[in-house]
Amino acid sequence: MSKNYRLAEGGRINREHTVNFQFNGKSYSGFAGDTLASALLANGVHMVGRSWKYHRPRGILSAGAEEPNAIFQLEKGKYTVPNARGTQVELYDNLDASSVNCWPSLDFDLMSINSKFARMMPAGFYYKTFMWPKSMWMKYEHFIRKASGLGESPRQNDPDRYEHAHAHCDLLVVGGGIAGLTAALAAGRAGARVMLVDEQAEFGGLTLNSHAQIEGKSASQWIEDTVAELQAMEEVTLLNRATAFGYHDYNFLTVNQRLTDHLPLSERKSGREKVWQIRAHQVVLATGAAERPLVFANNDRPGVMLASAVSTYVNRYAVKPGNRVVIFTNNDSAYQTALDCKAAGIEIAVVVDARAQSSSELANTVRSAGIEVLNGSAVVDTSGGKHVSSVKVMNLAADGKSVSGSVKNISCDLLAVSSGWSPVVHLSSQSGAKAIWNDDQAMFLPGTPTQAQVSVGAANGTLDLKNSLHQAALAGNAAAKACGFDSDMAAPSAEALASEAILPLWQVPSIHASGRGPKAFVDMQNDVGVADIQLAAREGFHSVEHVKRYTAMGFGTDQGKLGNINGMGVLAQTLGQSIAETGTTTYRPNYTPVSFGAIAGQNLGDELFDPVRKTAMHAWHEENGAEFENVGQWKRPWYYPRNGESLDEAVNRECLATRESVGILDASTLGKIEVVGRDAAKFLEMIYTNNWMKLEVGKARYGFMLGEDGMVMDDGVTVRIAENHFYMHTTTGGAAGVLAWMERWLQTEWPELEVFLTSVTDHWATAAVVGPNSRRVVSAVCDGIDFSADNFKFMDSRVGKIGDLECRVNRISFSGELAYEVNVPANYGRYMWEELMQAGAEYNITPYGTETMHVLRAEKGYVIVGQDTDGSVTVEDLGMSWALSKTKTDYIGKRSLNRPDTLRKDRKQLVGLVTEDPKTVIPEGAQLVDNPGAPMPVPMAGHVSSSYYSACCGHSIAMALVKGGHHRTGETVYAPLANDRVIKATITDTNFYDKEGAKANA
Amino acid sequence: MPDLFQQHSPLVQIDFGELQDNAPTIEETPFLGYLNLRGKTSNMAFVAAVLKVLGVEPPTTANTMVESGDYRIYWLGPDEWLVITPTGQAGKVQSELNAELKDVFSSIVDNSSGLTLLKITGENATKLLNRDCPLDLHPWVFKPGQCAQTRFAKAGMTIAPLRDGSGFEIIIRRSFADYIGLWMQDACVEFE
Amino acid sequence: MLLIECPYCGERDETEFSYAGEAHIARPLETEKLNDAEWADYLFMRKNPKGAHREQWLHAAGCRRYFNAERDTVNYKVKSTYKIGEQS
Repeated sequence: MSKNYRLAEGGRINREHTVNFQFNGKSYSGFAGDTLASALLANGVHMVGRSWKYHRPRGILSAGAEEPNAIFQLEKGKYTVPNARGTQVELYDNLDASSVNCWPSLDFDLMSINSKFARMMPAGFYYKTFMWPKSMWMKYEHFIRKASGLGESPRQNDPDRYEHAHAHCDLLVVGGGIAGLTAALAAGRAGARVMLVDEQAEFGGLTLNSHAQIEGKSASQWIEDTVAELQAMEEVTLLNRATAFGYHDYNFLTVNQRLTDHLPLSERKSGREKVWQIRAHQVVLATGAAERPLVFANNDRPGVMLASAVSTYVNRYAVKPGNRVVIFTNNDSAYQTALDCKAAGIEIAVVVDARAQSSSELANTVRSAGIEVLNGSAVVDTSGGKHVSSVKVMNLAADGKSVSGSVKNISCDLLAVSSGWSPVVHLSSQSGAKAIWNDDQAMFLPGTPTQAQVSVGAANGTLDLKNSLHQAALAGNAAAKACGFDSDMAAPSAEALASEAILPLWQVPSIHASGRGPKAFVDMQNDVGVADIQLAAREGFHSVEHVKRYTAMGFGTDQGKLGNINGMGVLAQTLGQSIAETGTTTYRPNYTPVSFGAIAGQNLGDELFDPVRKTAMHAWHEENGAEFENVGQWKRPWYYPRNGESLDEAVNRECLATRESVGILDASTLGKIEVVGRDAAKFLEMIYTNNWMKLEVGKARYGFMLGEDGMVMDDGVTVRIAENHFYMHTTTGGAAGVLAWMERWLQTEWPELEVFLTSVTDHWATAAVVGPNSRRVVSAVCDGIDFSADNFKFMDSRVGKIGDLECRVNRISFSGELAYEVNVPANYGRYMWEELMQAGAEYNITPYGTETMHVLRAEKGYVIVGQDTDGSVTVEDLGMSWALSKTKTDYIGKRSLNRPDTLRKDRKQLVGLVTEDPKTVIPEGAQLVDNPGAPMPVPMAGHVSSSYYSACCGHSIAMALVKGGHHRTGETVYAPLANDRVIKATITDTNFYDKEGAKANA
Repeated sequence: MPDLFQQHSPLVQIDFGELQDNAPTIEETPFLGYLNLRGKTSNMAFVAAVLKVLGVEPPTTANTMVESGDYRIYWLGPDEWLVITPTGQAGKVQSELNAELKDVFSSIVDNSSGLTLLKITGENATKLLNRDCPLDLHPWVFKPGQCAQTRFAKAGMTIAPLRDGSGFEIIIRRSFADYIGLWMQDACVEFE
Repeated sequence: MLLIECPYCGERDETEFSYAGEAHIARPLETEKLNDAEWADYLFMRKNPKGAHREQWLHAAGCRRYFNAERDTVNYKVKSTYKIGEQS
């Protein structure tokens, strides 16, 4: 283990705290404050992975979110994380990292054979080769996925917790560099509610590397003081390790805060990540800028690194990324890297500057430090195996279009490159501001805002400290003022630094014919080279969006943060047009990858994924062994198995007990709506298909609701409680929709109607007492009601008492049995239920669930809306035209009943089915055909909507929607199943039990 | 009046007593009376009847609530209010309102068993609620006297700041109460 | 994520609302007198414009009122909202 690359002093690391970690199974150590990347570099490890297509050796290129190469698989098993950027992973004790995309190992990679055939694998190679013949794609794909995969997805359940939070603020500042801190400070001092989010552990951004002075103190001291001042403000919230990954409409931003990723696994207790959903009045984007690499032959060799990253490793992490550096630039900023390297004792071979001249103050400082500068030159190639060992330098024409002269070989183990800077305009672009190309600065600048946001500092293309601070203070003041705060903070003072113009250089001219020389990479993660873009252009892909998709440029986990702008430059040059004309690809969320866990938050599992609604008797059902079924969001008892009964056994028992004596069902989940007002009956006339004006008080009626398309939408029984007061039942699943539907008609179409609707679904608990002994049970419990058959008829409604408790009893039946529904306020639901159970004990009262309810109703041919109907079924199709008023001129959906399609004779109509073998139950959903032996495609005759074994009938029963079925009674249909079995059945009517209806009317 | 001891709260299966040390306090006030009141404030007879029975006119400013003696009236919509009464009094108030509003376009529906009330107090009350309530609950924005119908997680709720600034009361539907209770218990893991 | 101004409750998060289709489609009177084409026009035909669109929204998790909104289908900006029966 070597530590030759750690500087003796400096950096923002804690040398007191040694951190041990593993990379590809080998042990290393670093310090607290290191990233995985800086710790590897301190150990002399540059090569960390292989490229996805050619499997070329790749090294650490950057020091931030833009990193394309240094991506790792962290940890194993359930804690594993794929494709983590080592440049952002904070080092922790016992961190276990491994390279992605190497097989079988990093040093010996079988797939690197691809590299030898690179010329045969140009852009679009996979599309052209493997997509044809189509039938072979599945085989190719398997191989390609293995060869090209990035990290591995976790295969086990994620053990971590994830959380969400909503937040609101006057000003949200994204980016905690000096610009962001200044904007936050201005608004914070003014008293505004400010949130500042930054993706790093420490606030300060790139300036943490800087030797500059702010307000007469060192930049790092100023940062420390400013953070402390902000932290002390009550209305200011600072979030570190928090990446703003999406900028949505109406200043809604999503921020992912990593709470425990920096801790050893053993210390991770609380939630791992928290997704903040922030609604901000004003937004300041201080997201900084990312340096671009230069594009030249073999520019992907480990040891090639962004100049600013070299500075970061040297200054912030006290790491020497090499012993002898060549710096290759087309702009001024890399000269600072030269000074940083010199101060760290790194030998500087030469500064290669593409520009014919460089005479800024910074450049001159470098020269006076004795550092050689080669102007009008370019690095044209690199040598070395898995690490750069020398570079080739040639003269570059003033326009950057050609190289000439002799080749100088310069030995080095580090090549620092800079092709200028790209403001991080991702969030600005996501917000709707289209990025604008600026020729002078050779960068895309944030476009005109379409939301209340502004970019400042490097994110706005302002690369010098003084102007950044100035802009940031103005933006902070303006944001506070826009929110009603008086704010006039002066910008923190700093010295101005003049710089010279950049020479845009999208690719170093090749000394080889196009596509013939060594590869020059634009997008390192996706192995997209200059030649690929040129080929795409030659093949007719001119839109940058098409070139992106054809070459895969910008498709990686880094989303082309480093490569895209160079790629657009290469494309523009190839097409002989400007970058402004070429344009950018679209910037979309997410800025950096976000885990699925973070998106789900706590909305997971059986209890919290979706609301679980429970009735007042739920605890009783649980205590009495019920199995539950989801009905909409409700948990309803499905059946109550006794002594290890199966579903079928329990249901058969429940059905027989109910039909022979008495059963009890929790019917509380039905939707209940009070319809009150002078026009209540008139309103129901429009909502339902049948007549309501003449319904007597104390009587109930069954009704269908249709959509305007004439199709069945909902059904239920409605009771007239008083002249102007109805109590409506809806289906369990349809309750909310029906209320909204009726409100819509009242509010938007018939506001003149005097009707008020109020949902009381949750207020009432309902027990359906069903069976020949039901009268005996309810009359024992409910006082004040004459339950005699003559005085309390089918579809009557009465009010009585259970003790001192008022109850409403409706004699309605969904089973064909004598049945009563007892309603009490739900707080007393369990009390009522237990009273009924006690009174029913002598009749062996049997609680039953939804499965028995389904069988009982199917035996009578009663339909369930949503099971026997699917939005394409009319009342006529159900054979229930008796429910359609003949006298009303209009109701919702009526006109549609005369549409030609609704009148078709071959519509699917509801029929009963009895199978040839009485024990065979046809699966619900089975398709029906007239001739299973017919040549394919076999014409479909219909499908089965409900199907059960009926213990009471002694054979299976089914309901089906069959074309023209109402006229096919007695005919045979077949249900061919997936397992080649064919079930034969005869069409019947839908009433299988007590056809005369004597039992319900008993 | 029926025996109050025969009542069961919808939160009968939830225990808020054992939350994390820094979690807000969550306490149910069960069995209050809730009346859903509908009517048109353009109708003077309606306003007068409400004033007579409840001692205060129904608030016409959206998202506000008024108190009158033991009663509280929440604005729910331009013609809709929630009247909260002490335990066991909803029936009496309903009868009085019905009597006064016999010939006036209105509706008074007892929803006492359909709702329950939670008080969420303590330092982290806002934090807990904003875990999945999209509303801005900051005291500059959401002040005593205001109320709002919004959502918590995937369920609806009516929320109002408590007068003493200690937190909020939320009114939730019976059938969603257990879900909300479990969600809050789970969210409180953050407050170890 | 939109921020929608309920004409009653003020600005609220989009998740409190549900969409209710194109606005200002009056239900025809005397539907029985319409021919199939006229009825189909009411039943099925919707504008689906690129740009300004009048829509109905319901403040479902709030005051349960329907209202009208003028929304731009290109940039999602809700230009105005107004109560049923009012003009924008």
